[in-house]
Amino acid sequence: MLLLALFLCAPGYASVQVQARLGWEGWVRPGFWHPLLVLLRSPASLEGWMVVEISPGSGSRVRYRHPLHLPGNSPRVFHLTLPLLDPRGPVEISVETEDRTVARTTLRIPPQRMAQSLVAVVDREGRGPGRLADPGRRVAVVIRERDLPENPLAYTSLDALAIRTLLERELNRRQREALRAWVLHGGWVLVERAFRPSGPLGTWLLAATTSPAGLGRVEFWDPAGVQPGGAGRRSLRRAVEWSPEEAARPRPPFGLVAWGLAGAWLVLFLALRAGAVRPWGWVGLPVGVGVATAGLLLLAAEVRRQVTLPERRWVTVVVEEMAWTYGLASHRSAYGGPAVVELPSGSSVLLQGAFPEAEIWEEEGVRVRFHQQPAQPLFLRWERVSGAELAAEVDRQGRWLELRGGQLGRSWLVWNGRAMEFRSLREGRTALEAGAWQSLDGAHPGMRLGRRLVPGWDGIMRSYPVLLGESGGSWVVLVAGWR
Amino acid sequence: MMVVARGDLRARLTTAKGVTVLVVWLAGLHLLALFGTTPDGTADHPALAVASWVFLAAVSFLGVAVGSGEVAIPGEKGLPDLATAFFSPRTIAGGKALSGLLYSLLLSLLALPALSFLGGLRALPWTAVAGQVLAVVPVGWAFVGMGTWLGGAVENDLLRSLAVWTVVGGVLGAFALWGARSPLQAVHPAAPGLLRFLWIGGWTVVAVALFWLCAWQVERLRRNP
Repeated sequence: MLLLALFLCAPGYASVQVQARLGWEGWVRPGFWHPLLVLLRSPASLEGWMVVEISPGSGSRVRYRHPLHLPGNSPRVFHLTLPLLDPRGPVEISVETEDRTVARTTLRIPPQRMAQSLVAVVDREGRGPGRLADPGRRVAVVIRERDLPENPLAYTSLDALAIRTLLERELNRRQREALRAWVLHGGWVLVERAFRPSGPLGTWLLAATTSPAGLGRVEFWDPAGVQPGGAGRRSLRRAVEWSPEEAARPRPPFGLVAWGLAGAWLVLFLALRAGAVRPWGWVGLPVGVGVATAGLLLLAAEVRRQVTLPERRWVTVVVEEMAWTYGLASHRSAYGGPAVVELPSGSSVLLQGAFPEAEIWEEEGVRVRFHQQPAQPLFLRWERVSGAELAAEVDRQGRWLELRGGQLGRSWLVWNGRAMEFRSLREGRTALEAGAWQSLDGAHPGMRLGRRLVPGWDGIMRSYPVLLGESGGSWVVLVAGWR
Repeated sequence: MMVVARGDLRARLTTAKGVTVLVVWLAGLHLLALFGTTPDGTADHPALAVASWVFLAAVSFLGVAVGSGEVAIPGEKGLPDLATAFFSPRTIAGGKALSGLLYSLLLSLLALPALSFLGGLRALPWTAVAGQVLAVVPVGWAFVGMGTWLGGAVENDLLRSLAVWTVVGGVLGAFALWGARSPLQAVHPAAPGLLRFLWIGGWTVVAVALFWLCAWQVERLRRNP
């Protein structure tokens, strides 16, 4: 707020102004997604890019590019989400037009602003975090409604969000949905007992203190009383760990190459022979070289395609029609060089591996461009939250399962440590046969992938009836409600 | 000058042995491309760099061997033969320089498809491969000049063979021993433009000096036949 006030009160600027704040009141938790608030103001309308540059590892630079359409003389606030694995490096934010950089600012996070455990307290009245702060173990920061992120991912750097006041007219639609999505997918909200809702979100939060709120928890909290324990979410670092045996080594098709090279040799031999026989035959040599070059370039493109092993897996967890996708892609090329990976619109992306630099273009979809080192794997972790139409409900007595909003292919209903397999599931009710239950296979590919990608996977499988559907090598997980 | 150059080129490009040399050269290049298909091990020692240096060494050896008569092509006249003709030393050296340049250009041009394949595997732009080929042309030219001069300066066949391989091995070996900042990097497709420019300029100067030495050698042969 202070930042915004300072910004708005500033005198007239002759050029584009950019100010930014990273994390929760400047506090960060390494290894997690963080909110990044950027304030921009331009004296004239501006079309270009906002570029956020970070260093996720040794010698690597990643640039996140967001399209920018700034009207003249009106400040704009952008809520972005940034993964911070190694926050020791600077975060550079710049505004670029087609031909130049028009504004730039650099954020540096001091080591004393890095925390192992973070709690944010929404409070307009300046009463502070109470006893939530635990010196040396947990940092509690006080924020205002406007500081709440628009992307649920940004909340994952918090252990908990405590709410003393929540003036909902200060929140936009995306902020409200982000908070709800975070709670539905495992977020932990503490609501002060004296809290009075000022809108539907507050009412929903109060209701969630007495009834289940998806995978998350909403609890009453006494600022002066004993503080609850931490929830804890898995660090991003663990999600992108790579085991060499899982990544196949690309092997070039030597047979195809040998045939292609033999063909090119023959073309050139004939061109040389023509030149040796007739003086004007030398005209054919450049043509022969051109044909051989074109043919071998096509062969090179085909070989390159065959030895590039892009692998993409994701698990989409759907809770109360809110889908959170956890994706992991590996990209490994025998020869390195430039590569592009397309991801769904709205995906937040983290890159790790051996690459000097990468750019993430956020337009209609998300396009990741990078230059890869030969034979070195590169990993993309992405997460995306969106609405979903699919939903499932299970009868409390275990007699039927109801699927709404679509159909599923091969699926498993996982419940109480047992699984029931379905070849396909159509919309509507499906009877559950008591004799069809089998013990849950720990080596099930969906379970293995889910355990690798989804935080708290085993807890979800233990506590809820879950419909696990296969979708082209990836998985949809419907956390079923009770009926 | 054109007469000398035409004679050399006719021998190198139209005789059975001359064409055989080129066909074998082509086969060697395509084998190099096949071996270069091996995935690059690390960023520091990629197979592409090794292939580039082998290509450079092969052009150098073939240039010096053909120029010196080590690979004797029927009909090609060396400096001792031409010294007895009525051409001026400058005409002879100029003709040798022209045929040497065109021969080096031909060897490099024939390498273009195989090198484009290796560059294409690594998604390098065609300009990088063209730059690589261009960087090898003056080296081949200079080694043809070296071979031509040695062909006139060393009469004994065995000593000449020894001298040819010693000079080529010594020059390229010295560059290789330079280490990580070796000028040999100039023949890598991803070489910086300035390094490549200096490399091409340097070797062009060396080639011109060597062909000037050939003119001087013709004069010497005429004084002391």
